[in-house]
Amino acid sequence: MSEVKWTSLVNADLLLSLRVPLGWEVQVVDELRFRVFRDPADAGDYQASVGFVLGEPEEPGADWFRRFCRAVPDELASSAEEYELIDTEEFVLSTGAKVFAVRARQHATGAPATSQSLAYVWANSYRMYVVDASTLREHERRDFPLFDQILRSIRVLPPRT
Amino acid sequence: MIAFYSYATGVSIELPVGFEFNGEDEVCATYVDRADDGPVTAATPVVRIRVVGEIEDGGGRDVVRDLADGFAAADHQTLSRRDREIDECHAVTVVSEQAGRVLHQTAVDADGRLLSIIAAAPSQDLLPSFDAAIDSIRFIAL
Repeated sequence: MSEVKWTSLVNADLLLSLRVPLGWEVQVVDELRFRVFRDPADAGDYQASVGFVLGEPEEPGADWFRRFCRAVPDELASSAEEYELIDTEEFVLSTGAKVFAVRARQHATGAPATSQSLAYVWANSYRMYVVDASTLREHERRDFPLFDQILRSIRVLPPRT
Repeated sequence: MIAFYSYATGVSIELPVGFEFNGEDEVCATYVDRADDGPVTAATPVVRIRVVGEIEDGGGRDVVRDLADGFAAADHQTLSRRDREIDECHAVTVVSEQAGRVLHQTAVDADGRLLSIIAAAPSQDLLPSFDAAIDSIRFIAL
């Protein structure tokens, strides 16, 4: 397997800096969301990708985030078709943002079987990011390590004061 | 590691736990090691990032070399000097000793801006951390 080269990416609207594999496509959806896609696409034109969405926590405080994270796996299991939880993980980014990540497999009717990483990045009471990554099931071993590196490379930048 | 970002320098850097933001002006940001919670003294490990100036087209390697030459001043004992890449930008790091202080100094052409990143500590213990900090740098223009 060839070594992956990485490059830095910044989204000034979301105040996010991250590292992505060199050559991945960036698609800015609007001022609250963007997505990076593996290029070239896999068979069937499916492109593994990672999306970033900026939102606001429903309630202020880290306690709410803890409660929110505890409920996530069950909510995903009850709302997704043929859902198989792989694992969950919590860690803190170098900028101090708290991360809760869920890795799972899903096979919705009429769609290919996929492996997904869904992460919630809590920066503070006013800023939270949802980072959702998806790849074809057969490329889980190839792409999960990349998804993990992308997630851990995130730096939440401070707003200009 | 703890990440810092300065709008003045446009630099995001990860420093060892214990370092804190110590202040900035229009072109410079300073971080000091407060791990021992004591007062900041001349012996306190420090990292200072400064925008030295703009670089004319094509002159990046020369001005980086010239600034690095300045780091290897006559009253310093140079321990090492090496070319490197930081966030896909050309840089030179010079490690030297002067008056009981170890200096880890880097000149970099950050997309047309000449920056210096000067780290200092009373011993060589922090050199691996300073090297890792330099490798962690991202140039972010917001």
